[in-house]
Amino acid sequence: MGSRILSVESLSVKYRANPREIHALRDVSIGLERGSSLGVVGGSGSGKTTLCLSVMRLLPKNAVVESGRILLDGVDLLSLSEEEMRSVRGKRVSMIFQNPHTSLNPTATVEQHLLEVYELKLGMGAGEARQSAREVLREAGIDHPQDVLSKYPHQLSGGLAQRVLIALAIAQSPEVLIADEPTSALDAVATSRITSLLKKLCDRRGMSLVMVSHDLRTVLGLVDEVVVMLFGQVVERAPADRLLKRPLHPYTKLLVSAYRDVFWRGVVIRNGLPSNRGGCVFLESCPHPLDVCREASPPLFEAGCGAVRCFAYAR
Amino acid sequence: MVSARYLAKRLGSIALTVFFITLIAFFVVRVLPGDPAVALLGEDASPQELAAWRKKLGVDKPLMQQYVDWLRSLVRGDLGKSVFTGKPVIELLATRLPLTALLTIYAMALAIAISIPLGTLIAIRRGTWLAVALSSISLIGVSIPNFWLGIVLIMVFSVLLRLFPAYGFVSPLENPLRCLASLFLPALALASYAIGVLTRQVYSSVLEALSQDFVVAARSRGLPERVVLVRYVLRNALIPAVTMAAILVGYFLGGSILIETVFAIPGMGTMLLKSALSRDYYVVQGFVLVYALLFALSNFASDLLYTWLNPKVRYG
Amino acid sequence: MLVEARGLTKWYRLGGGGVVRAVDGVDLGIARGECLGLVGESGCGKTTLALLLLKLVKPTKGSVFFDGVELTKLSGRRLRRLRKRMQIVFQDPYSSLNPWMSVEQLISEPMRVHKLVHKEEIRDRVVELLESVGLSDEYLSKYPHQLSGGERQRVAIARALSTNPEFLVADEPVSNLDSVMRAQLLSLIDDLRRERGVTLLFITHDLILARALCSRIAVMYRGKLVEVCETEELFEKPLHPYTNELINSAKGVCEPAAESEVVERGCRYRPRCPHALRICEEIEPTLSEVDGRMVACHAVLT
Ligand SMILES: Nc1ncnc2c1ncn2[C@@H]1O[C@H](COP(=O)(O)OP(=O)(O)OP(=O)(O)O)[C@@H](O)[C@H]1O
Ligand SMILES: Nc1ncnc2c1ncn2[C@@H]1O[C@H](COP(=O)(O)OP(=O)(O)OP(=O)(O)O)[C@@H](O)[C@H]1O
Ligand code: SF4
Ligand SMILES: [Mg+2]
Ligand SMILES: [Mg+2]
Repeated sequence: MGSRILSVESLSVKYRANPREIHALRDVSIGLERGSSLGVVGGSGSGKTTLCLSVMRLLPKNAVVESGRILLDGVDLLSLSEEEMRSVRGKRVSMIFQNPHTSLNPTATVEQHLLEVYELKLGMGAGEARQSAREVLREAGIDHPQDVLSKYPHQLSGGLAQRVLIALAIAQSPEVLIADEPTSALDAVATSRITSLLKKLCDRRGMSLVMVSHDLRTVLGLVDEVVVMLFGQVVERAPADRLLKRPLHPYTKLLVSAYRDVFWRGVVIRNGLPSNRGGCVFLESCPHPLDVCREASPPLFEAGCGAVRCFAYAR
Repeated sequence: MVSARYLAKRLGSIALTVFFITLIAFFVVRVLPGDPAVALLGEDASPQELAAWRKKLGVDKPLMQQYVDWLRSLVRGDLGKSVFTGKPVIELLATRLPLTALLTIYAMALAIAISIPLGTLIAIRRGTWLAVALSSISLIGVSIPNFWLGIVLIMVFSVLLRLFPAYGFVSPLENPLRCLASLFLPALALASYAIGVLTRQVYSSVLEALSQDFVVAARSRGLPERVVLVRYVLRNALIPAVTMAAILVGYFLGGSILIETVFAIPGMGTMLLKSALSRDYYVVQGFVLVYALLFALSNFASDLLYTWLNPKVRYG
Repeated sequence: MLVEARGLTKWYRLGGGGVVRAVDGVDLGIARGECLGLVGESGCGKTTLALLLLKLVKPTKGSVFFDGVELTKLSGRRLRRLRKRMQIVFQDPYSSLNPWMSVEQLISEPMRVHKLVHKEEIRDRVVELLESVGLSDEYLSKYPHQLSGGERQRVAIARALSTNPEFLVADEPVSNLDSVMRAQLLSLIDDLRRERGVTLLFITHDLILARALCSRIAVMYRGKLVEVCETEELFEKPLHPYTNELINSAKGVCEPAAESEVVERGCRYRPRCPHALRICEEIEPTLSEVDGRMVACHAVLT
């Protein structure tokens, strides 16, 4: 504990696209202590996946990192060569993706996926690799690996496919695991199994975890600290146990009320970046904006052991 | 999994196709003006002589009768005899087919060997000058008729540069290496269209595969780029390309007729043209039938390949 | 009944010669204008059942009736005419969206195919649909790979709504959305039912969602329906032990049960069941009526 394993400093990323550029990340900073866990929640399209891909250096070609640093154990990943980065991926930082079905090669069996990692990345022989594949599947909560090994991705249900992806992600024993909505395809039982599995894996292996989810329930039970994202900005940072009890930013408040009541007909959020320039990104949907909110974009104000990007709080 | 029922259905439909082809093969040559007796004896032969020969060749009977007779002998495996040389058509096929097959396979090998790397390269380097240049070159093949390209190739490579022999086909039995060298230009000319089509196909499916989540996921495991490209991108992208290649074999059969003539290769095509000109009915019918059969089989093979390569179809 | 399934069965053959009984003899009716929830754990066959109901996969056995017409026997033009009246939001919004089509093309395609809207009006209608799922018209020219997970899901919903279907199957339609956006879309779906009388099959693994949205719920376990019942009754007094397990785990009351092996004979829930009787080892219970509710469990039936 104590030292920072991963920190993202003032990262800005934009996508070149029609009809105009999209600032997917704007001055985003997050920090992850060794052995701890960080939750990232936020609206659909707020830049969570972009943040994860930036750390992996796997952004699509039309993305541009405008500024910022991504430090893994003090080394800026953005300065590494592609070759060096390849040895970081999977071995030191690995990632689980949002969509389990499309993240597996449709022409390869589960076993081929796993063997490839063990043989090519860890240099194991065929027998050892096969043995490890079984073990890691079991570790990922698949009780009967032999039923799954010979299957193709389209033969797996969403839940099973996601567990296979988790197995693939932990196969090389990474120090940091980035999970981008790992449970959105799973049922309640499997979700609680996967979250407790992730927790167990992190504890046992000393792995640090970045957990992205839109579901407050899955995140809050699992992580130590949470950041809330909106339109590419971090709008609030808080210890997990405080967020539900006392959300500070008006957007977080919305998230929490809608989480408590699924039918809550509150404010309608329009996506795409808000049309005003310079002002607060949440202005159009904010229930109680101030005059200053129209003129300037609020900075992150310190708030207890967290922070919040809202002028109303600062008053 | 390919079920027995599916196979039976496909084979049935091939049989039906072949039946229609026999109709076409038979009647088309007969619609052409002139007849074998005239071709054999010359314009100024006497009517009695001509009639006698017609009788001898069996072309004086009513058309339907002739057709049925031909079908009958087909079923017995007898394709008839050449009017001129008197040789059985089967024997002619046996000497000519291997060469045409060699040319077709050669052209296909060239097409695949060129278009897969080319299409992949264009997709990976998309947006660069190199990609634009390469893709325009690959389009040449689609837009120029292949016999014309053949003539251009002869001019450039053999007459100007003297790299390959222009004519002077060498039999594979004599000297296999020189045979391949002598067939290089014809095979290239024949493959040109397929190279264009396949390159585009490979390009677009590689491009699609490159943006798929599973490619990003594979990179996130730090797999070497070569592995990602071969196992993730190409393995998925080549399914449609390989399927299309099998269909193109059928196209090659047609193209080879002209190419063989331009390059003076003693294959099925030259024989077919010669026989058509001299109204050598049985040779033409027999050859057209064999072409059609090969064409149907290549389509069938393409379907099987697609099923076999694609696990989603294989295990429905 | 707008949609009715009789003895619907789908077995998938596996590479090694094994068979997955994804859906195994399902009888189910969906009344016009109702919202039926289909719940059950991952892999129990919910998606397969939905695909069967719309004839998107061929059943191994059994039949489906839509508005009195046997769907499983139709093909060609008559099938297409009926298809216009039903839509599905696929569970996996990426592979169901053609990567070569822009958002505008994707959403307008069903309208074009079925020639429902005048050419000039299509664009306005697309923008309107986009806005109803919380996306601005900036998204018109985007392609699926340029969208975030939740945005793809919303495009898939907009596309399904474009033809004003009578019957809408929504397969985990909000699984990738944050709570604010989810609330917004659930209200949208609920309004469709209230105002336009759309019949809904809502597939979810989230019981809280099903409870909020659906008037009736069907519980599925390993390819079979084990309980079908009015929502409130189901939550007040679940009859089938599996329903009970689901409700408790949604509340976080009990530890999730360990996965159990597939049984050859008798009740398929038996290895996990706390109330198993002798008869459960021998005979498979069928869905039968008890106090006006449908349940398949020997312990309840006897
Ligand atoms: N390749 C791309 N080209 C252009 N725009 C993109 C691209 N990828 C993402 N975007 C846009 O960037 C923004 C952030 O996307 P991102 O995928 O990071 O969101 P997210 O927070 O993961 O959302 P979700 O919870 O819905 O998955 C979105 O508005 C999206 O439309
Ligand atoms: N094309 C297929 N080939 C073989 N097996 C399949 C196929 N599609 C589905 N299955 C199997 O059928 C069963 C039911 O799958 P289905 O996708 O219907 O489940 P589900 O209830 O929708 O699960 P989830 O909640 O994870 O989406 C699973 O065991 C799955 O592995
Ligand atoms: S800064 Fe102003 S507009 Fe933005 S959330 Fe706070 S009060 Fe609302
Ligand atoms: Mg995302
Ligand atoms: Mg499903």
